[in-house]
Amino acid sequence: MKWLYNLFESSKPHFEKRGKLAFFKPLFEAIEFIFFYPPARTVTGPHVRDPLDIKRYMTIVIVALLPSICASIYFFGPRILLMILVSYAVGGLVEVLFACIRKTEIHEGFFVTGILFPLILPPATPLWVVAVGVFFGVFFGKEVFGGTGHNIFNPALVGRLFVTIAFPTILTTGWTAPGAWRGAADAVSQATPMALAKTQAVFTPVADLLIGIPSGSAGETFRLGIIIGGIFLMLTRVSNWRVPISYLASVFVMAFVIGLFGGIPSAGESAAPSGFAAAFNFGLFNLLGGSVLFGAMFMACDPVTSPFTVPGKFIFGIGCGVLTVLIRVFSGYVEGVMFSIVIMNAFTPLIDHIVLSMRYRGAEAS
Amino acid sequence: MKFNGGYNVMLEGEPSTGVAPYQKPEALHLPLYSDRLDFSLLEVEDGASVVKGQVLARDPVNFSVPLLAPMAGTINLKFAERHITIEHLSASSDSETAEVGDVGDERQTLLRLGVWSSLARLDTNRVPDPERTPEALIVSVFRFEPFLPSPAAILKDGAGDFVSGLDRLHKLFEDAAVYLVVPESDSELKGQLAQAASSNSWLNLFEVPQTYPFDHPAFAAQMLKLSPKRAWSLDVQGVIAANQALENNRPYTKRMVSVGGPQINQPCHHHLPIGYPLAMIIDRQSGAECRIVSGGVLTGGAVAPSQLGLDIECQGLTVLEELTGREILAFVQPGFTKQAYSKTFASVFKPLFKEKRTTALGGESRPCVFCGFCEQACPVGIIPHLIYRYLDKDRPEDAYRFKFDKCIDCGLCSYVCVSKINHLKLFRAERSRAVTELIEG
Ligand code: SF4
Ligand code: SF4
Repeated sequence: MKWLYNLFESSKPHFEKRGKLAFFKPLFEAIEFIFFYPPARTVTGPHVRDPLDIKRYMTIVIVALLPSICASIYFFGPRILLMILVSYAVGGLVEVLFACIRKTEIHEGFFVTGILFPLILPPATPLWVVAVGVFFGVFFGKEVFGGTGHNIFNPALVGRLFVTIAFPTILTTGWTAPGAWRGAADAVSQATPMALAKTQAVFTPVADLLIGIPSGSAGETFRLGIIIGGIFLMLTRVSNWRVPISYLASVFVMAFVIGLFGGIPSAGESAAPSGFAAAFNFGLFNLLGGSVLFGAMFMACDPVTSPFTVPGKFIFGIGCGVLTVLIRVFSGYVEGVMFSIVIMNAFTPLIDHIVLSMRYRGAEAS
Repeated sequence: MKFNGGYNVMLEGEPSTGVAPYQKPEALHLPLYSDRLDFSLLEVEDGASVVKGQVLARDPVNFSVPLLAPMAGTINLKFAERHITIEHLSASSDSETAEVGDVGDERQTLLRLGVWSSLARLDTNRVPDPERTPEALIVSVFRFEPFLPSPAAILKDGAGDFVSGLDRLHKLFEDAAVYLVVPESDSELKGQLAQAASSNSWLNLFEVPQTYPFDHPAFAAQMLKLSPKRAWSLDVQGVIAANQALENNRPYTKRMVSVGGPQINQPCHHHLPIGYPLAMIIDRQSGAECRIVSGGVLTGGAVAPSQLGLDIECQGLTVLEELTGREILAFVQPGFTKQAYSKTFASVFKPLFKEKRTTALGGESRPCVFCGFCEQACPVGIIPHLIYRYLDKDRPEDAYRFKFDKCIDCGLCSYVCVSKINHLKLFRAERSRAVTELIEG
């Protein structure tokens, strides 16, 4: 590694104040600091600090996503890798440009956004759509708010929302059947379980959902992997269990209740299935079908865009869950995860404000 | 009682309870400053000879508390800046101590013999007014921050002196209640204290889990719902010194100091006079660049290289190696040797161990990402990142609205922060601003 270190040291002068490449200093530093940590010391107390830093914190999220990433490549082929590459390249460009213009450091949050975004797209999304979406998401979802830590909406979801609205036809035809790329599926494209349920009242079996037989967004099909990754994330304390668990629980309860009152879609003229067992199955299907798991484990729990107060986290999770099911059952859309999280993101500051003003109510009077 | 938050930093080099043999110094270098005190009023001249217990200087801001000569010798004011050096030390016996002035009341005795300056008001951490009387006195016996002196070293010869010191202080402070902060776990010393508490109704034990900073006197005051304005704290040595001052008229000029940390060869305790040359106690493992921290590594301050001797308030010295090297790809290393508040390092698969830490910041400074660790670690249940944000925007009213006044400056929020934000520094700045305002206003 000595040669690399020397390389950094010898190129450094070009990026200093009067160097030719001074504009790109943030980029140079970001790359240097990835390989060699800055020798930053504490100045005042606490003289020792916890070894966890933001780079590792974000890396843990990527590690938790690995099962989903690997499964998506297995199911949908190497083009997923290309999508990830494009997402990182274009999103990275926006991030780097902003950092250079603002003369600040490049923030690590982008490493997560860059991988999350392609994973929530239909697997056959054209690469240029990936590029446009990630550009929009990073630019309008994050940079205009002032960068990581200041954004209100989850940038990956902002990008996803944008492409859904801007290119509806491309997005709804991009549902490749898993394994189709290597001839392991009968058809090239396939409707998603949520669409099947809504339009034809066909409910994909739970076991199929878990191992990812039906189609869906690139990263959301292998649900066993999402569960493992999500639990890993909670165990490391990087994600707070309150949001995902309350989200998932409320989706199940909400769907169960709707199921009990005859809200389950039925085929043609036949009566809606009812009864306890049917409601239970409907709850389970809503929990596992679609992007609820992925959304709860990796999107909703983003600490920057969800409430920081403890009761707020529960309110947020429940709000996401209730909205998701309501959109699924009562709106024209087949999936409500994306909308519900973005809507709840918008309410995050308000939720925190209300929780805080209740908790510190007495304080104001005194 | 419910305890939330807290965290133990596992640092290598915990001082053993043994006391190192005393080595005679050539000279003593008494700093004219310490954490809370500033002895700006000199009472001796260059070249003068002094006897043990003689007043060398006073702090005019803090009720003229004195800096006393620990040994007889000749004064040298020119040896080092802001120090009084005593040379040609003579091994005077106790009988040769300074003239006892007019024997005032007991408070004056404590003031005169250098004990009073060990007291602290819990609200401002300042030396309390000798004219006033606290409602409660809190003594934290076992300290959990790495590293402060262990009561097992200080009370080697039993708790007798300590308990009678408490008794005297209780009477002196017009029947103030006395609280001893002790861990839940049992020990011989705790048994002795429990016995003393059962036979004295004014003496109470406050049991806490063995986790930093539940040993903090200000934390105990909060849990016990005592008014911080009227509660004072004192350390174990201060209590013993009070006993000896009131009983034998003995000046408080020697301290039990713990010396530890990853860089120290044989971490242990030392019983030393104030001004003892630091160079003689810091026995380092390597020639690496080091930082000497006075007090605990979370809340203590770095000892300036210009400081030559033990200052009057020093309790423990912890020596850390300064970070020099640069870690390669640290964020993807498994991390078997690193311990973290989160479970993000492979060390979670190993049993708890003491870690060799340096002064590494551990990452780059970033905006807050609301990871919530600071709130989880905070012992007093406030939201450090929220308070930080308001203080940073220069809106202290809002910080106080969110109960900033409960903060005990334990530093855990800054310790655990993923974004390497130093809350503690800002919190302390605000507090000293508020105290100054209070005094001037
Ligand atoms: S806010 Fe105060 S009491 Fe809470 S962790 Fe930080 S320093 Fe300690
Ligand atoms: S620990 Fe640091 S990054 Fe995390 S919430 Fe607190 S201030 Fe923000």
